[in-house]
Amino acid sequence: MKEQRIVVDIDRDGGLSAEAHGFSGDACLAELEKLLEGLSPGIATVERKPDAGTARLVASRSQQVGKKP
Amino acid sequence: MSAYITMLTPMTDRECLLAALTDLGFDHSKVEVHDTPVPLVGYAGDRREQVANIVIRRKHVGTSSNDVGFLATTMGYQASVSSFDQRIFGGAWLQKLNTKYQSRWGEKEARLAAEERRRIDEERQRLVEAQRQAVHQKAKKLGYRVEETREGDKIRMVLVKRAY
Repeated sequence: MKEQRIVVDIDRDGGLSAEAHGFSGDACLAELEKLLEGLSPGIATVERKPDAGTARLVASRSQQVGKKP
Repeated sequence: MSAYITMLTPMTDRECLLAALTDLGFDHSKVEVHDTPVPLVGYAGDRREQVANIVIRRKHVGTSSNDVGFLATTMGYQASVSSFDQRIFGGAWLQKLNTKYQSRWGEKEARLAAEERRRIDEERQRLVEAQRQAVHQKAKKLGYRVEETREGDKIRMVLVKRAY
């Protein structure tokens, strides 16, 4: 049995980032996609971090308020 | 017989002009405000050709005085002061009025900026709360246990799930 963990940070500007640990392969990306889907219309970036046989992914989405695009 | 001399002052905001007039002793009880300009009245009760949106009637201006008015134009409020009343409400008084106006305008700008900052901040807080709730709901739906902590304005949500 292993633990899957996702840490989600929401900053004061509504910027949102999420980091997944304990997944195998691309499952972490898929899980982050499922979690963050529809939460923000902002730009999404994905960063992969190799981590002892598993993939660690960092996904972030950000959205600014009070500013016109 | 007296003549009206019209002088343009760069005052565009009615609220600030009224506040400046109050500062100089003409509060709302002594000032008429009209959306449509009305004629000014001379010292003999004669109707002048000048019109104004903001009017200080002659009884408040002084003995043997004429109405003092401010006409709203695209270039700002235009002051109408008769030549007779120039001795008190001439250039020096208008300069003083203008100084008060600028001061009131500065206060209004600061107030508007503060209101705008507050509005943006409230909008931001609503967004953050909506995101927090959405993450929480999705996490639960995906089978995660959620631990939430706050550090100042930052929210951290730790989602944990056991996988077999």
